Amino acid sequence: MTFSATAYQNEYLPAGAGEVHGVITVTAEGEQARGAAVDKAVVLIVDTSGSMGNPQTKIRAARQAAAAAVEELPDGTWFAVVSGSHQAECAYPGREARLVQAGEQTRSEAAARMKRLQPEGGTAISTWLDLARGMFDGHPEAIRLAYLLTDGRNESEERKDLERMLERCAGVFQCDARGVGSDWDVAELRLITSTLLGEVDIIADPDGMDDDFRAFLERALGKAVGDVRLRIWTPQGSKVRFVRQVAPAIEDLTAKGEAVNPLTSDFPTGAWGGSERRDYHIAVDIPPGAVGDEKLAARVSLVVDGSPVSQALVRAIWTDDEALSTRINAQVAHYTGQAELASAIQEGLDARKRGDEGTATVKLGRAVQLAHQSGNESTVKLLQKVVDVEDPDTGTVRLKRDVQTLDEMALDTRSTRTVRVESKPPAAGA
Amino acid sequence: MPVTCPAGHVSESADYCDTCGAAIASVPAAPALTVTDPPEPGLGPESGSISPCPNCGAPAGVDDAFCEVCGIDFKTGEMPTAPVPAVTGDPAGAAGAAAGAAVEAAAGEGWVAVVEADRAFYEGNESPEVPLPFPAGRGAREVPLRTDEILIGRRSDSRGIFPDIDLGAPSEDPGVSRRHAVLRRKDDGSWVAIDQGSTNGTRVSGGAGPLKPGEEHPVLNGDQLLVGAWTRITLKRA
Repeated sequence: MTFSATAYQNEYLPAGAGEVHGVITVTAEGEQARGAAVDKAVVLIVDTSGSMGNPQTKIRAARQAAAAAVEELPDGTWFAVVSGSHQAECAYPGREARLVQAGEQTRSEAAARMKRLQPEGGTAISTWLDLARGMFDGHPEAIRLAYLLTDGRNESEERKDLERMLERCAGVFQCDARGVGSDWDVAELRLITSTLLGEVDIIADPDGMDDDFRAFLERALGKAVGDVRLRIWTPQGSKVRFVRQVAPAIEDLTAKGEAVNPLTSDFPTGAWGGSERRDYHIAVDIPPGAVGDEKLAARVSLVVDGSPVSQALVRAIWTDDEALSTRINAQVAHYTGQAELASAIQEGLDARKRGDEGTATVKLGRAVQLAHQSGNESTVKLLQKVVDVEDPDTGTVRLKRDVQTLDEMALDTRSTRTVRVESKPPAAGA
Repeated sequence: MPVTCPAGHVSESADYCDTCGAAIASVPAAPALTVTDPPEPGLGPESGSISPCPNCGAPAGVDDAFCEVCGIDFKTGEMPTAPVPAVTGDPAGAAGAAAGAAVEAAAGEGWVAVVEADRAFYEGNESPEVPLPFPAGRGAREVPLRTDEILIGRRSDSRGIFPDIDLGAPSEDPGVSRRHAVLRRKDDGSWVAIDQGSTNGTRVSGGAGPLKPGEEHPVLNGDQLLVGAWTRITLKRA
């Protein structure tokens, strides 16, 4: 598998300026060679708290989806299933709580066990994560991915219990999270997936679990490299303003930096599949130079399983030619807009919940405008369930009176998904 | 091999100082004649080029629309319409001479294009994603039409594009495409405008909408072409 990194930016700065932006596009290509396959370890974490039995369709769908999922595990995949309530239990393989390898026998045993999952008790997610962590710990060589399915809030413990546990799990395994129905908390699951480099999504209808489980497994099994980091060098006297994944979804990585040396930090990006592309937006403040000076503002290297494989340069050249320094790079502008779109949605929904309709209308209107202009059609559609759009160009909207909680949650959950700039010449010139 | 940067730091990296980031002279990756020409500022990929150009084999970024060396359009597979000069000496002069020689005789009678920034056009434009300030205080300039085919665009040394009416620096119009439109003189002496598939389109005064790319549109004495963010080009018999 080969990785490549490309930087997009306007490197020209006016005299006195020191803020440098760049978009780094990282692509991984080529499937892993058969035989040289990396071990995969997968833990399914299924909420079996009492609420999953109300209505019964939820637990039934969860049983079915979990059983179907384990039956599809390829031979040799390490796996286990955690059943979670106010405490965690290893539903399969059982009390000894360790990962086992998928094979004919383990698959059918696990599937049979899934069909007997009983809804009972409260919800303490940190205990579920802790059990998974203990099992993953024994498999440092494998790509380690968990899938957490819940239908409710983490009500049987304090927020700080969850936060503390997430710190312990970070780096041990990655975790996707799914909320079923509308009684769970978007911010709570997003906290889990942001810390554990996963994705959060909503499953509005329990019948959707089956497909989602399968899709997760497919993605998990397609991972070919377990540990990819962005290593960012910046010059002496500079400050990293932010490091953000901007595609396929917005994820702020700034706080995740681990210092390698005083000028260099690593930002973990988790496991990568055989054909993936992710984009990152980096902003650095560097000491301003004199007109005519050229400096490197950031050297961004990709570090795959510990070794640097590819790099991209973000540069700064000071000029007194305004035509150069005022030029806006299309990629940077686009992703600045997509980040604003995500926060406009979240702020708009927050304002709406508080009853501040003025702010909600302005923010969601701005979101409609940004989503429309950038061609982010799926976000436009989600927004249309919450507001009536009068004019997408100006962002003129009216709040809908009756909004389904599910629609609101779907918009919130998916607000961070971005679209890419079409690969045509940027709008301002060609 | 460690090198010393202009500020006196010892650097393991040979391109930029690994302490202060200053560019270190005589970088191996400095602009050579062909393949490593610096990309268009702020537009193209800066590094990490991936696949070779299918036509000439020069390295090209995955998102590039054109090969920076031979100019082939990766999407359509078409070569540039104007001759691409070899990059030697003064490329602009070479291009001018090459294009000029063939048609010198036919271009006997005098036409000029008056190029200016048009505020009304600028203000009537849909505001782009990125606000572009109107270039106040720039006067009109006259470009004599010396040949029968006049390329309107923005100069690019690296792509070998040297427009006769260059809307690149100093009076930059960033809304103009590198190869934006062509003014062509027909055998009967009349002029037509042909949009070259520009990003933001070409309009002719009095016309309803932007020209269809590739189609000829007659242009008479006094007609105006509107291109880019604010540029008005008036065709005049001198």
